[in-house]
Amino acid sequence: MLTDEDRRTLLAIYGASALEIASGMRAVLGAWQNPPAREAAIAGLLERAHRLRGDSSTVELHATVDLLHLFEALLRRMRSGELATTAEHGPLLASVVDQLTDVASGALEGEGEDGDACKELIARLWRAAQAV
Amino acid sequence: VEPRYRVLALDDSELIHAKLRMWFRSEPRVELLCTAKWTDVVESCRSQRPPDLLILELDMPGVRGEIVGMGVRSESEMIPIVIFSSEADSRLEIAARTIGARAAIAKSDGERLVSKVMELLGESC
Repeated sequence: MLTDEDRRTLLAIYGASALEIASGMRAVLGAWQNPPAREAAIAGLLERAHRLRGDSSTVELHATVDLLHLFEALLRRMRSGELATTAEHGPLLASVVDQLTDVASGALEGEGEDGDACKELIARLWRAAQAV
Repeated sequence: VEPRYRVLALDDSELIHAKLRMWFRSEPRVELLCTAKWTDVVESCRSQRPPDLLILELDMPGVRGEIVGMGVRSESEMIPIVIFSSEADSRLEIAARTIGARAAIAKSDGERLVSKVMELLGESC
């Protein structure tokens, strides 16, 4: 059984790692406005999102897990060519990275996630992922 | 209580290492060793004192857990393997059959891990 102290410790470990991952995502996303660089950006985002989803699940940040699931689904549609990438996707993807950064910073302080912020982003991702 | 068993866990997540240590803290009969390097597993299995049980993640960067598991099997038929992964149940089952794992536990069901490990080591919790 985990104690409250254990959970705080795990959140702190998660927060430090998640901040690093989110920072890497932000760096990768910097290339989004350059269309030829988007393929590599998508691959970089997918790799980091997958790892972060696993870690988020380990610390039971369920809304963040859901957000990352959909984020990955959107990116996979882009990678397969089912969904054309556009410059307008850049701000949406950046919003996700902002939210992940907020969650990571909160975790370092022992805080949970903002479920409402995740839900709003999930709705936006869902709409983008369904676009043809 | 001196640890009687050495359990080696392969997972690339530091977070999982921390969580495993917390879970196994209640089990002083076990010395838990965690690594993110699959080569450590191979070396350990070839050593004078191989682990009494291996906990194995399937989704490892650079190498599939199934490959590590088959490598361990080629070194020793005796070391029980418990797959502990967030992969889908179907992959867990196939992997368990492929490498002859004694159990496959989803990370979402991780609270069962310690009791399953102790059961496989022939001990009760």
